[in-house]
Amino acid sequence: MSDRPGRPLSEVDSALYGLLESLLSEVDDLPRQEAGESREGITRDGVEKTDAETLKDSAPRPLEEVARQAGTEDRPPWAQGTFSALMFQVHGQALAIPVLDLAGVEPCPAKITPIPGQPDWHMGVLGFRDGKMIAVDLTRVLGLRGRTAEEARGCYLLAVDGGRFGFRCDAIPEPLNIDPDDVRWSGAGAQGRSGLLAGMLAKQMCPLLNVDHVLAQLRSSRTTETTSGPAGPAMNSNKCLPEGMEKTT
Amino acid sequence: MSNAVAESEVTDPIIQLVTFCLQDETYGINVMQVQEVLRVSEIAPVPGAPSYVLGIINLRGNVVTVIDTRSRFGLMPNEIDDSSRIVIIESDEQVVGILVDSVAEVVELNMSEIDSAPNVGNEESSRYIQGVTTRDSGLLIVVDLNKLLTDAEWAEMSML
Repeated sequence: MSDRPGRPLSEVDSALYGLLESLLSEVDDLPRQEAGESREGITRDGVEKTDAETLKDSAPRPLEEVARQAGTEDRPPWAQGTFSALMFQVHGQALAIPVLDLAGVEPCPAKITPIPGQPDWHMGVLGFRDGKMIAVDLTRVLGLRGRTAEEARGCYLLAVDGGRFGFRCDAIPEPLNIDPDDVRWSGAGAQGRSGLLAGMLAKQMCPLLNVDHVLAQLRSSRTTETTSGPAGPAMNSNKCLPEGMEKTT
Repeated sequence: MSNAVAESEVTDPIIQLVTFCLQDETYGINVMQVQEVLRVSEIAPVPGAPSYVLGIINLRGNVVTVIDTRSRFGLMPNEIDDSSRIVIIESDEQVVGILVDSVAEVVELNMSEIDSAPNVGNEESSRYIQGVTTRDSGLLIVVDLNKLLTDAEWAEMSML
């Protein structure tokens, strides 16, 4: 206590720098130099801050604020300015999709025709404009859990990839205008982890889909299904069976 | 005029499909491969047969192996009832039967009407799905009978 007032500012600064580093490490995508710049700012300005002021500066901040301070290099090209997105629900989980990736929003038809031997996310095929659309259960793709497949029957299809795929959702999507500063972008570093999410909408606390990666996942999953299953067709496709039930033959 | 018609038939041939139902979906198979449609009689199980083989029937003195189509398509098993049929088909010089819920009709369409949608008919596990086509009653799934079984499985069938 007695030596506290006499501690050199550089020592306090160093300790706070460590604290800030640990806080930022929880936000794995933030550039580390941001903390360094902040630290340099104190000395560059030559302004001596009190401990209280410095501590206030380094206190945990809302994700929204952290996102705002992130660099722009991790943003996709379409997110350099304000962009539009649709927020929707799948199994009660809120998700957002950039409007640029959408080919349309359609009410679910009365019937979606299931095709044998498809991956578990493949809900079936339906007519869409002049072609066919594959209805996708995003909960299977994203590994969301909670309700059963029956309860998850959605009402709308978000057409992507020119209408070749339709993400099934529970209700009418809500349009949003998003400031890219309000998104915690996943960046290139996160793509190895999953890559299915472009980032997190800070205000809505809602994941923003990386549609290109989701589509790539859909296309690659058929290969996975094929190579992981037995030689016979459709033997690894249990999508028509209730969960937990296996084929009897 | 007739030349134009003939040319279109060459570039976009017309095919006839026998349609059948399995779990509320309609499938179509090339009529040229269908020999006959039978009511379901006694199907004798074959011990040690592959899982996709339901058993054998006696067709006018010939033994014909019957494939469990529902199992093959990954569908839940169903009780055989009055509408169930065994469709006798010829594929890769073998005559086999496929058990279906019911047989519907014969439809005629152009090959160009069969749409190979992404992830349909492209992967190993569903290679026997040739494509889908839109009918008034809904989508019709076109099945390539020659690919219903793998070469190894066809060979195994011939040894039963």
